[in-house]
Amino acid sequence: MMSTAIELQALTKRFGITKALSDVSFSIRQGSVHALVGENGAGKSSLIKILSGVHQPDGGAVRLFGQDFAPKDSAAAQLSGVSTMFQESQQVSNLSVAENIYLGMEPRIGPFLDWSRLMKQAGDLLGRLGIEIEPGRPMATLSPSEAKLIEMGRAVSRNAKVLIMDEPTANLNQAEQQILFRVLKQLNEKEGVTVIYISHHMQEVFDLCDHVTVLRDGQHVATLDVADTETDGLVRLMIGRQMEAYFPTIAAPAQGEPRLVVSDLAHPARGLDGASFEVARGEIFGIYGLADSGRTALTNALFGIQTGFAGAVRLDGAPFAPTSPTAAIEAGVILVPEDRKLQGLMLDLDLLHNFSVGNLGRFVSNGLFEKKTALEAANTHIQRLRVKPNNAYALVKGLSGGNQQKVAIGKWLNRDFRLAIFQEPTRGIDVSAKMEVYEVIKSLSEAGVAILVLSSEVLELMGLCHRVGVLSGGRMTATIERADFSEHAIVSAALPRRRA
Amino acid sequence: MHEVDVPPAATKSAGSLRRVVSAHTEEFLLAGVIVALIAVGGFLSPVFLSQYNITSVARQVSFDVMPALGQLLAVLAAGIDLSIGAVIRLAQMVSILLVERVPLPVAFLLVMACGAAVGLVNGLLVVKGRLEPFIVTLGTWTILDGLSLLVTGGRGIAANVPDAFAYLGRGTVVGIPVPTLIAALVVIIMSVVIHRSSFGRQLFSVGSNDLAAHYAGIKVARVRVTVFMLASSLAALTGFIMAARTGAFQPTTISSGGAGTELATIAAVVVGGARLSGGRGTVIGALLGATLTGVLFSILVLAGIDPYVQSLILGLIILGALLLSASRRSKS
Repeated sequence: MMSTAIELQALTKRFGITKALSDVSFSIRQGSVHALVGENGAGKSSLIKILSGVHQPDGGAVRLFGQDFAPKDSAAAQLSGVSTMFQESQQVSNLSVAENIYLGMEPRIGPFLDWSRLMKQAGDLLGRLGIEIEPGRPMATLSPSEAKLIEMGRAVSRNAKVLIMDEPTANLNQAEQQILFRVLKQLNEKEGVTVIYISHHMQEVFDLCDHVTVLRDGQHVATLDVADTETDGLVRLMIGRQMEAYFPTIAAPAQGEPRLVVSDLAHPARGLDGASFEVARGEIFGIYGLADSGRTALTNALFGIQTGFAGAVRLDGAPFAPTSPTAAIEAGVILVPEDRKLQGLMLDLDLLHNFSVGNLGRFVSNGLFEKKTALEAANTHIQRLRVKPNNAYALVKGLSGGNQQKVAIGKWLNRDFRLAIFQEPTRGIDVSAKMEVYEVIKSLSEAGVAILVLSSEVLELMGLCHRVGVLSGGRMTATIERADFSEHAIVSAALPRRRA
Repeated sequence: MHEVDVPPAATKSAGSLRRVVSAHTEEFLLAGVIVALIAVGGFLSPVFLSQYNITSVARQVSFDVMPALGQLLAVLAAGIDLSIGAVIRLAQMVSILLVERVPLPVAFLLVMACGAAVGLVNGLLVVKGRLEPFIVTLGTWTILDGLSLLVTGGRGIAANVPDAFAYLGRGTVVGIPVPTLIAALVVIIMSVVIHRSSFGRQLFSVGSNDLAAHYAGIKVARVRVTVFMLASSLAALTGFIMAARTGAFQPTTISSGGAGTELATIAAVVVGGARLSGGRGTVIGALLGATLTGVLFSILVLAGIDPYVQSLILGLIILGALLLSASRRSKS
């Protein structure tokens, strides 16, 4: 009954001089949902890459159901019953759902694909797991969350005994997460699949998992029964230091004239249908909404990414309708975008460049770029934000997610601004980077900046914000004061409602 | 595990020296190859190191360097300019047609205006028309060459060039060809523009990630249009000086060796370490790249190798340089 699915014995992995894993030993019980937590760089990804056959260990051994397990590549790992869902989905978008599930093992009649059997098999499998997706749909039409579900189905089709899920909820909204959790439960309880679950979200660990292993700096810190632990204790183990609280203490904002007044902002084609709200100087105003709530259009309107919105926006009393990001920035608005790699950073360039690009004008005299001044500024930001590596000439692509996010924020610290918009400010970054991001947001608020935080993490909004507005169907359906915060109040206001 | 903690350099100067050397390994390598090529040339034929030959190679390389810097601009901004050769030819033709009819400065300004206008059209088509630079400049290349053929009727044209004009192409100052001096000036100006100016920072930003540049408040469209205008202007300048040197324009170059110019500029920047997907490349690299290909070709000519083999070699150089940069990328 309580047999062991996977046992790690003194697993060690080096990359050059960096020890990614040193002497890691623990075991995972059959049939459990086992969480793997730790900061970025703790060794989680090295560990799952070894288990999925992408990397081979430099020392130690893995046993899978009592047998030696040393897959030479990912195909070998799958054959032995270990499937992995990486963060980037690995599917063929121009094939159907069914073909993706059975890719490489499709039922055939002679040399030809047995299309009807393929559809039936896939339909049965999806039905068994409670996944409501037509097997004939082209993969390209699936949302990222649906694609994740298909990957889970694919693992089952391959008779996976162990499924490794690497931050499966990173880009999903709450409703999509609930579906994924339901399928995960089905997989685990009905199909008997052992799950290794990597997550940054403590709440998921407590909701879904029965055991948790904490890694830190490539070493095994603890493996615990989830029932015997709580958030603070777990976070403390991860960061290896005492922590007063996860979120900074937010002072009450200064009373006075509102900095930002949005009245009836609308653009029906983009999903905004008359949103109204106000943000005071120094206020951290959270915005919660599902993917189609109009949250993207709202940001686009305020940062000048799109134009043509009806309604009015006033910034410090003056009408504000930016026609480009340049215009928004000049008016004192900055954006930390949700996709830092795509929208926020020049990955192939160095920290110096990335920091200076938020305000090139500050480092220019007579048309020439003053590298020395920019270097001083970059080093100041590196110190203040504790960016690693501590080297202005390091390329941004080599940084961890948390450090990249610090750079995406830091580039704005070269200028004065009145309104800061943060989209998913801590997505996919480790706990200590999160806390540092929260500290920056707090200090901006104390300096009088009005702050909008758009996040799909309810707990983050509750911990960080003075007030939370809930967007649903393009309108602000609720504005909740800090004293009245509850997960239920926020999430229920976000659900789409029927219009009269 | 992509994080590697880089400790702060022990001493600032040692760190920056190491940085300079490691950041410019390719340039040192290229310079070494060029020196080796020159040695090989001297070994193959004593004529190669004669003052006459050195002067003529230097002049020829100058005509390669200026358009290569234009190509570098386009490539840095994540584009490509295939019309550079056609602009050179157009500028040659216009120069020959104008030089007897209007004062030299007016001719010069008109030729440069032609170049800038072509760049403006290229840039606007890319920015406003949302077209790929490759397609747009392929189109202008064909159109401009068609125009040159139409105007000349496919026959060579020549002009009685005034002395001042001829001096630009044929003259020397203390033994150094005037085109080489002009190219040197262009190299210095472009180094400042690309590596020291605010515009250069915007250029690298756009080439590295245009969306992030847009979100950082950089006027991406303006940068793109400026890049194409500068690239075409450098091509026009090259054509003007080439016309000064030859005093004639031979449209047959369009159907024969002329098309090599586009590829030669791409070869120069790629050999010089620039990345075709943008955001990476240096003026010194493009200069060395153009010099290397120029020196190599003069050796081939000297060694009596079939001119048709040259384009074959050019293609091999481009592919080789791309392979090299791809393997370097996968290593890092």
